[in-house]
Amino acid sequence: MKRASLLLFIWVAVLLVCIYIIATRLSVSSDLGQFLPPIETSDSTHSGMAQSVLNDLVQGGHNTLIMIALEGDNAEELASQSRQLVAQLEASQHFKQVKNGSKSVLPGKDSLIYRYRYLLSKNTNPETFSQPALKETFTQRLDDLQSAQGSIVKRYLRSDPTMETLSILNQWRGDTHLKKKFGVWFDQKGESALILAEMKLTGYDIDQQEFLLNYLETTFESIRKQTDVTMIYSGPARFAVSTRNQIRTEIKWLSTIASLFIVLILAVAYRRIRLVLLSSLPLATALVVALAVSTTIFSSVHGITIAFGMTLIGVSIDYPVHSFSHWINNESLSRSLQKIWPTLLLSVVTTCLGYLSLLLTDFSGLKQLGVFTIVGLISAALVTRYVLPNLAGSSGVSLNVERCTQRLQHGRVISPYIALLVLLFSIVLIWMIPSRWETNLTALSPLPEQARKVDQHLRDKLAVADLNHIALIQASDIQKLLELQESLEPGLLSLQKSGAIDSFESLHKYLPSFQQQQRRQAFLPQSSELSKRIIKAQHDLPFQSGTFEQFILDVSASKSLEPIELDGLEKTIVGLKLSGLYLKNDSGYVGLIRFSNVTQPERLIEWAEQQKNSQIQYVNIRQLTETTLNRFRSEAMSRLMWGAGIIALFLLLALKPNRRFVSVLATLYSSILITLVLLNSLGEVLSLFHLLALVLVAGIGLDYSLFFSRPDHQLTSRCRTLHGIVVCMISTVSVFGILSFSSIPVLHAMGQTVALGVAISFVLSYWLARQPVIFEQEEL
Amino acid sequence: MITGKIIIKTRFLLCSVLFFIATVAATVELGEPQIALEEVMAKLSEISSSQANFNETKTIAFLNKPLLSEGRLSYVAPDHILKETLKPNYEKFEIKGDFLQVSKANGETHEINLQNYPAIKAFAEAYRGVLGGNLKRLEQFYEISFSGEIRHWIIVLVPKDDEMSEYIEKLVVEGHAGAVTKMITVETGGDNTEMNIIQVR
Repeated sequence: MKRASLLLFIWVAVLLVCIYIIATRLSVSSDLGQFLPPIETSDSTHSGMAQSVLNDLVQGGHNTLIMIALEGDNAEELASQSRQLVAQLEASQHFKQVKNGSKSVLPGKDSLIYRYRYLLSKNTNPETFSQPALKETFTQRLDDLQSAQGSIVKRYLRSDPTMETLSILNQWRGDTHLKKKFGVWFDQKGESALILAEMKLTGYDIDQQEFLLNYLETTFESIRKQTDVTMIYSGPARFAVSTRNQIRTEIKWLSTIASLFIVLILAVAYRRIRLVLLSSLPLATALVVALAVSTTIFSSVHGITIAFGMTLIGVSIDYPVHSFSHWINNESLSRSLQKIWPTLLLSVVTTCLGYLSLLLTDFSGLKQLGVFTIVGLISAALVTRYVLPNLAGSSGVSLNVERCTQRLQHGRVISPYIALLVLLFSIVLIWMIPSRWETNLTALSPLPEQARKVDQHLRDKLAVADLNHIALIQASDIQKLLELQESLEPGLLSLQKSGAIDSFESLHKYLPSFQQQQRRQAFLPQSSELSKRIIKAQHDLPFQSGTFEQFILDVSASKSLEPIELDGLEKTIVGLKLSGLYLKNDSGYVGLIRFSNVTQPERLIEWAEQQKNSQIQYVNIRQLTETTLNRFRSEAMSRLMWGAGIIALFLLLALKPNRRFVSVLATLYSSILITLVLLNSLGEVLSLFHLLALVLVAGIGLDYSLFFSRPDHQLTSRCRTLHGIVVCMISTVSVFGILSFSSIPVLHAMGQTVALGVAISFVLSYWLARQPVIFEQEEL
Repeated sequence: MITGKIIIKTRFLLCSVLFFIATVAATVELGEPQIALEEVMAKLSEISSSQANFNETKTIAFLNKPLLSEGRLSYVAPDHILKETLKPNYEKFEIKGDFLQVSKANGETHEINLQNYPAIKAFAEAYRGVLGGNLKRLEQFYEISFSGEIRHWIIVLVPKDDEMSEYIEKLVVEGHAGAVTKMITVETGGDNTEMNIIQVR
């Protein structure tokens, strides 16, 4: 008894320590990039750059952006609510900026663009300010005054006769697809009023994002009142919040139903409340210990690790089930357990060895998953062996095995050659019905289809570009980056001219480097010189003398301006655009040149290769994600192959090359292959999640076939084995069957695969793995 | 109101016929300016298309002589306006719905969404509102005052919208019966443009 209390004490102490670690140190990350392999490029210096871009993409680019559309009423009402909403959101201080286009399109004379026009404009060169050019400009302006745009021209003419402010604005604006109605942005059809908002966020905090989204919704409700206006919005924050909430609620009710099922099944199987309750202890302990250990080893645990890890160690509910099914009356549970312990241990150790291969990958997410699962399974096994017997009481489980023994007695044992034939057959099948693999990165996201559609819809309307073809440029600081980009401009323009690309976006188009700005300043003439030229230029034109006084003053003031920097420009109307054109990383800044309508990608590759001296890489994002995912798949596949190999080797050592070894292994492999074949013929597009689910199937299948193949010479004991496995199988299939009804793609995939796989494993193990009764005496 | 009923409402009345009826109508004393305004608008709205020549004088403070230009105007109800400046430089200015197309002699063409250019929009709405006799539309954008009589009327339009009034102080439209004869644009700051319109048909 003394030993029993010691074991219980240790168990409780470990649990408490683990709970303490979880409570104080657990930090859950949700960066999907951790689950992706590092990007491989020809040049290793480039991969970090591409990696950061891809991570950024997976997380949806600017995390803080919200796209909003107001719909469902007449344009005037929509416009008025758009204005109110923007005003209130701006006043709240929760948002960096909120825009609906209502600010005057023409920059005022107090604006940054106006003030820095000669530093920002491409046209600032000696030629522009020469006397003949000025004369031509003035003459042109005289014509303009008579034309349709006369009033706009007049507004700038005296201080900005070359119309730099407007030409900068035109350059910056590009092709905007937005139109204005009642002074605010609308989509092309004029049905939805559009707003772009950027949240103020401190780090990646879903609660804060949820708070801001709720704030947006309540603000809208207070403006909307009784009208028919509806608001749709999207953005990374929305995704993060709704994914979390949806997973939360779905997990809640799915797990409630699943737990009820398990309780029901166990209650029917053992008819004792105590055993039902006890059977949850190994799993619960496994979760706590695995989480605590992962928290200790890794700086933060990935959300996906926890979700999948929990599923993968779900197999540990089988351990107490096996024990209880073998618990004979008049014997302590500990004694009964001893008999099946070698098999159970073999199953646990083999499964863990299979997962060991995960530890050797360079994907930190998979590594975490490996640690989590191995730690979990071992703790569950230990709890089953050393804690449960001390809590289970003294009376065993009586089972009516009469019918079962009869059947087993007459049942035929299949030769291992048949098992090998089945394996061969499934290999042929998988070769005939190959898998289709998901190459679209977004399909990995747990978002429901609908949310993605809304997002795409709003992106189209607001013309927020999707990245696809980009060139990445690494520089140590922002000025170096801008200078590099400026040196690339001629090449880019000739690409554009030749039709290889339609247009390109680059940071330097908006923000000239210091060097460039200073060059332009040097081009500006002294005021005495300029006024001389102006007097001559306007000689026979009808301008009053002194008309261009302000122009002379402004040019002179521009000469001594401090060059404009990134943070200055970010406050202007192009601020939002700028944030999509560069990233910060460990080695400085990465500039993104974004190409639109690429017709000849090979020309871009060629172009990037020609820029040998600079850190440039052309990336086709779609191709990149495709190859990345393919690489991920082959990496994961090879790990699993290794795992399968390790399992085979270990079983060979443990079981010796006998018929049990052959049938167990053949059963295990063919179950997985046939599950895969079935999924393929169902038309499922396979992803990472299916793969992980198959790993679980392998673990469970191994457990079944090892137990079915126990060289037990007592028929009653074999019936107890059968009883245990049936209970395990029914509970697993029903739990994962329930999961397959989830609307979250990930849960659906896992549920379907595991339910199917476990059913197949059960059938195959029962059929193929059973061993003849007396021949072998060893106790494995 | 009796006079209104006398007018035979036919879409194909020519300008001269209109003018004749208008003269008859003008002999009847008009009471309220609002009623007279509605009369004028009703007449204007009956015109489904018109063509005219114009000459324009633009007076700008910083220029020591006014800018002169001339050309052709045409209007097709309800919202198609074409203004072709022939002298001194060719320019085609065409408004259809919310879109403005400006073409120069060298073939350079700009298309502008009027929503983005309040100053030009102010013009367009005034042209369209007056030529189409669409009082409701005019009232949406302008404070309207009316003086004179049907034989010779003056409508003064003051923009309601702040963005518009940044550029335009008021528009003065003069005409007789269903024909516009003069349009004066007074810009904020005092510069003005006077356009004389001579109907062709």
